[in-house]
Amino acid sequence: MNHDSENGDSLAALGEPSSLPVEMEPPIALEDRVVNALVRRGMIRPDRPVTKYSLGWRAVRASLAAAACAAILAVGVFIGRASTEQIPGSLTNLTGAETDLYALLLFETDSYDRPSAQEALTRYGEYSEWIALAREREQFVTGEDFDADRGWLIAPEDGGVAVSETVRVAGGPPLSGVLFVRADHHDDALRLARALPHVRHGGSVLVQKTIRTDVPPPEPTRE
Amino acid sequence: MTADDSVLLETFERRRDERSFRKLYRRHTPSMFAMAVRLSGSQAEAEELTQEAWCRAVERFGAFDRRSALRTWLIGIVVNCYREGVRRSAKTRPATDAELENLSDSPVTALPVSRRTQAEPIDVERALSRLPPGYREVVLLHDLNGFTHKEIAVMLGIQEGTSKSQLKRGREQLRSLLASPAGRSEYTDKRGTP
Repeated sequence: MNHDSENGDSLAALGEPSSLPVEMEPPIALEDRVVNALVRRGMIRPDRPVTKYSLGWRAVRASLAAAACAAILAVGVFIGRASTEQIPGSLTNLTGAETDLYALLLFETDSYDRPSAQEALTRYGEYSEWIALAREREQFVTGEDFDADRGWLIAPEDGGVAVSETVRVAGGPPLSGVLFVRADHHDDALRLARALPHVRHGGSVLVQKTIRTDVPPPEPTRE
Repeated sequence: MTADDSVLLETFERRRDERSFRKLYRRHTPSMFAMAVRLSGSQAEAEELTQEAWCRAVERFGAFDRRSALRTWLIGIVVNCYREGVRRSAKTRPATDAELENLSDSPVTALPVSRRTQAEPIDVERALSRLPPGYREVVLLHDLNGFTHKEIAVMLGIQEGTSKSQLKRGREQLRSLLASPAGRSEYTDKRGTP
């Protein structure tokens, strides 16, 4: 590309053009917004197959519940990317030392403020920022968002097993998502949990350390 | 097109997946976003513009002839998305040729050489934002992004001569704005920023 300057003074001569940046860093959340838009329009394949619980079903609902799901969706979308390559086998921190894995369970308690359709996008941005923060600290592992309006409870009943359609266990609040983070100490996991938009909007988060099961791999079959 | 862009683009076209798109996005969005911010004057609008430009680019990658740089093509899409948005907006329609002619007749205060180097970048940004859209587009594309008049003509669907004359008038207006403290304070009053 040739820079022709036959028209006299360039912008360079008018001020300090070198300090006018040709590039500007866009907001971190924009990348996922663009990717989601392309996925929704069917123009690119998501890293994780889209299921009715992660995109389509919720996206078409204009109800309040759908708006709430859309906000949480941010988690699922980011996670979709992470889950393909970051499912923890052995968790290590930046120094290579092993770290613990914590589950953050997001409950929709009565005080939780589900976003309206208008607020969904803002909520989406808030989750994006949280995930960016967790990623920056090398703590984010994976997670999933749930359909907080529909679920099935399997429970023993009269010597058998009963299945009932509900999202509540013993009248407790519905679970709307789960996140996994790595942390050297539970304080680090709690610090991240406190910063969750879910808490800011009145929801509760249960933080629990996972126990390594180290399930042995299946033995190779002989032919 | 650079070798890197060529590889990224070929990979994307073969896979059409999220991962290969993200690589293209991270490489080119900062320049697209900067152009979008300067054209629209608003971060929120710039984000919308960038998103729309990427959607359009992905839709039309097949039509990209690869003779020009991928960045040139993408910036062209940003500019055209912006122009379409402006056309749709009754409030901020682009200046007509006649209006541009009239603007060029307005008195222009030449900026003394001694003062040229005193303009702060923020002043240049503000002055740029006050240029009529047609001038601003050409000044940004030519003086800041380094595109040739030929490239600008293709991008904007105008004649090379039009690009040259708009650049000349745009620079004159810019000089006038930078030379005028009143112009700067007017901007300050409108935007409410110091």
